[in-house]
Amino acid sequence: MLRGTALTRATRTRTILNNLSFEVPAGTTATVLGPSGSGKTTLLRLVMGLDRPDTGELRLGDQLLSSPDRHVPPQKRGMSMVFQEFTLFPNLDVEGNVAFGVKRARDAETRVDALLELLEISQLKHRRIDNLSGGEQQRVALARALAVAPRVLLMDEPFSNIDAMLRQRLFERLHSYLRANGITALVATHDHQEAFYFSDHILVLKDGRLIDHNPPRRIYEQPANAWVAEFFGDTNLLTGAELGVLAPGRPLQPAARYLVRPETIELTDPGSGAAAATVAKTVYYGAYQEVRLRLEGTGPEIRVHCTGPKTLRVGEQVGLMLRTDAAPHPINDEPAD
Amino acid sequence: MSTLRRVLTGLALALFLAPALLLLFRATAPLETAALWRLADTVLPGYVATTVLLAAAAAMLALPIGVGGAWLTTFFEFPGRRLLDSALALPLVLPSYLVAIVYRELSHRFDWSPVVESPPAAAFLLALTLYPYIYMLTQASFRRQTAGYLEAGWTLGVGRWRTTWQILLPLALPAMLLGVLLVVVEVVSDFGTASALGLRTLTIAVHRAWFSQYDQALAAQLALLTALLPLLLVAAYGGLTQGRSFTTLTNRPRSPERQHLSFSLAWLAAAACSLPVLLGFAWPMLWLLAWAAEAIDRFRLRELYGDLLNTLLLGIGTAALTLLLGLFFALTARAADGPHWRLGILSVLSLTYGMPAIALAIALLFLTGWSYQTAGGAWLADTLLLVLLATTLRFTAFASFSIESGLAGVSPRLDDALRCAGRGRLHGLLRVLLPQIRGPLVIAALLVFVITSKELTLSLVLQPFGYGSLALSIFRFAEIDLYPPAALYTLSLVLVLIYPVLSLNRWLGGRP
Repeated sequence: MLRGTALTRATRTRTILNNLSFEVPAGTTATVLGPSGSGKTTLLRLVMGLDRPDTGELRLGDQLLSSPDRHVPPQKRGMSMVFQEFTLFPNLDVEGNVAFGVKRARDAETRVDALLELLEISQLKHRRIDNLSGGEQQRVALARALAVAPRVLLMDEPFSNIDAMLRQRLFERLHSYLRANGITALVATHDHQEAFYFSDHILVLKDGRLIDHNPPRRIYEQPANAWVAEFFGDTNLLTGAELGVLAPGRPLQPAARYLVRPETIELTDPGSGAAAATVAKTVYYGAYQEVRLRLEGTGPEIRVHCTGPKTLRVGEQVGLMLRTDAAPHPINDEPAD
Repeated sequence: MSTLRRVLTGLALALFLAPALLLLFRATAPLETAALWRLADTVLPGYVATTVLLAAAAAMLALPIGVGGAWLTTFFEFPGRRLLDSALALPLVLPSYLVAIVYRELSHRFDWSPVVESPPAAAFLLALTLYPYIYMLTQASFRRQTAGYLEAGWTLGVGRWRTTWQILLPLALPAMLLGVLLVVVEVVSDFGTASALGLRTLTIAVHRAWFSQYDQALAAQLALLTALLPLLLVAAYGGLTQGRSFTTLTNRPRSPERQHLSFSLAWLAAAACSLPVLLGFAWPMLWLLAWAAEAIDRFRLRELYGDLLNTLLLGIGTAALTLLLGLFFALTARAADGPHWRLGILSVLSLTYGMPAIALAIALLFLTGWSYQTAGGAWLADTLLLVLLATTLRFTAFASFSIESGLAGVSPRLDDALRCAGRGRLHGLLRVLLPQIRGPLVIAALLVFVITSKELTLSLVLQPFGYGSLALSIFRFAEIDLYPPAALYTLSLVLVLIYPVLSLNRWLGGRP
C-alpha cells in the first residue's frame, strides 16, 4: 500500500500541494488527473523522492519514505519513473538506455528484449536516441522504467505522444504487464479516457488539493462536485423541479441540484407522454450526435447524446425522458474537501 | 537562400580565408627554404618540441582544474561554494604573462629561477590563468542539461557516481574539448609568457624571423608551421564531436539538488576550489597591489587614459563587429538548404581562429606592406583599424559558434511562422529571433570583449604608429622591469575585465 498523509509542498509564492492524503493499494493502478498546474507532476516527484514534502508523510507498506525529518533517497525506494520529457540519455543507444538501471548484467539482455517487444520497439534496439520520433522515445522511456522491475512505477503523461491506435494496444499490454508483475502504478494524465482505461482508482487534483478519490465509475457517475462532473464529460446540472419533468414520479428534492449525463436521457417522438422540447443546436461527433434542446416554456438547455441513424434538425420538436435505469446524482457545488 | 546572400557570404568567407592564403603565397612564392632547413638542422626541433609540450602540458593541467571546479561547484555543497563558483573564473582577468612575471620575481627572491623559468613551470602558470575557459564551458554544460539526467539515474536506482561517469561526463565532453582547444590555441599564440620566462617557442621564432632576421619568407614558413598544431586539433575536435554538442545555449538551466559532503570532504572540496583562485588570482593580485602602491604618487594618469580608451574601443568595436558578422554567418547557415554552407563557414572561421595570433599578424603585415604601396593605403596600417581587423578576423568564430548554438535551440518552424506573419524579415529578426538568443549574443559579446582586451600578440606585432593599449603597456613596462607602472596598468585592466568575466560566468551558467 502506497499511502500519503497530509502532504504539503509550497514555493515562496504558491502552494503546489495542499494537505493531500491518499492510498493506492499494492498491485493496483491509480491515476492522478487534473488540469495543467494542478500539482500532478509535483505529486509524482514527491512520491519518487526527487522533491521533499514540507509537511506530512509518505509510506510504502510499513516503510516511511518521506517526512519532514526523514527522506529515503530516490534510488533506494524501489520505484522508477517515466518523465514527461522522457530524459533519455543521448549518449547511449536504445538498448543502453533500457539496460541502464538493470542490476545484474546476466538478466539485462533478456529483460531488455522482452520489454522492447512488449512496447513494439524491438527494431529500434541499436538506434541512437536523437534518431527516434517523440512516440518512440516515450516507449523507450517506458521500457527503461520497467526494466528495473520496480515495486512502484510512476508515469507522467506516458502516452501523450503516441497515436490513438497504437495507444490502445499499448494500454492493454502495459495493463496486463503491471497486473502480472504485481506492480503498483501511479499515472499522471490530463486525459480522462486514459484514466478510465488504466485505473483502479482516480485521484482528482485541482489547485493542489485532492477533490475526489474513487474508482472510475463512481467518479463519473457520482462525482464529488460540479467541477469534477464537468471535468470528466458533458453534464446536465438540473434542479429537482426541472428533472421532475423528465422523470415524473421519481422522489426528488425540488431545490436540490442533480447531475444527469447526456447519454442517460432518451429522445422519443413528440406527444408520446414525454416532456416536450425543441432542438436548439446539433453537433456531429461520429460515434454520437450531441443535441442541445430547450424544454417547453422557459426550461434550461439540456444536452443529449444520440446514437443511431436519425439526424435531428434545429427547430424540430421531440420528447425527452430520463432512462429508467439512470440514477441522477445530487451535486454539492462546493468542493468536497 | 538568395543570390545576394550567397555572394555576400562568399565575399566574407574570402576575406576570412585571405590571411591563410596570403601566408601560404608568401611562404612558397618564391620557394626559399635554405633558412628553414638551416633552422631545422639546429634549433627548430627544440622550438617545435617546446611548443607542443607546453601546449599539451598546459591543457592537461588546466583540464582537471577546470572540470574538477565545475563538477564540485555544480553537484556539491561545501563552505564558500557560492563565492568560489564566481571566483574560479577570476584568473581570466589577468594576462598570463603578468602572472608569469610575478612568479618569476618571486622565484628570484627565493633563488628558484631555474625552476620557474622552465617549460613545466610555464605550462603550470599558463594553466593557472587559462583553466577558466574549461571551467566555464564545462559548468555551463553541467548546468544546462545534466540535472534531469542525474534525477533520471536516481529513478532507475542508479547512484550519483555511476550516472556522472557514464552519462554526465560523456555529455560534457564536447564542452571540455572545446575548452582544451581554446587553451591550446592561446598557449600556441602566447608571446608574453614565453618571452618573460625565456622559452623558445614557435611564436617567438616567428617574431625573431620577422623582427630580428628580417626574413619574410622564413617568418611566413614558420608561421604556417606554428598553425599546424592548433589546426590539427580543430580538425580533430570537429571529427570527434561530429558537430554534436548535446546541448545548446538556449537550454533552460536547472541545477540538481547539491549533495552535502561530510565535514572533512566539504573542507577538502573548498580547499581544492580555492587553490587555483589563490595561485592564479589572489596571490598575483597581492603582488600587483604592492607594486602599484609604490607608483601611485608619481603616476601620470593621462597616459593611462589613452591606453584605456584604446583598449575599450578595441574591445567594444571587436565585440560589435564579430556579433554582426557572427549573426550573418549563423543566419546564413540556418537558411541554407544543405549542410555545405554551414560546413564551409565552420571550416573557414575555425581555420582563422586556429591560426595562431602571430601567423595572422604576419599575414596582415604583408597586407599592410601592400597597402602602403597603393594610394592612401596608410590609413589601414597607421590606425587602430588594422588591429580591429585582426581581432575581428580572429574572434568572429566565437560569435558565430555561440549564436549558431543558440539558434539550434530555436525551432525552424519559428522562421516559417515569421514568414507567414506578413512583416519584414528585419522586424521578425529584431522582435522575435534575437530576443530568443539573447543569452548566446551576450555570451559571445562578453567573451570577445574579454579576450580582445587582454590580447597582446596581435597588438605587439601590428602596433600602428602611436598606438597603445593596456596590454601593450603592461608588457612593455614589465619587459624593462618597471613593475610598479606595469602593476597599475594591470589593475586598470582588471577593473575593466572583472565585471565582464563574472557576467560571462553567470550567463554561461544560465544565471544572468
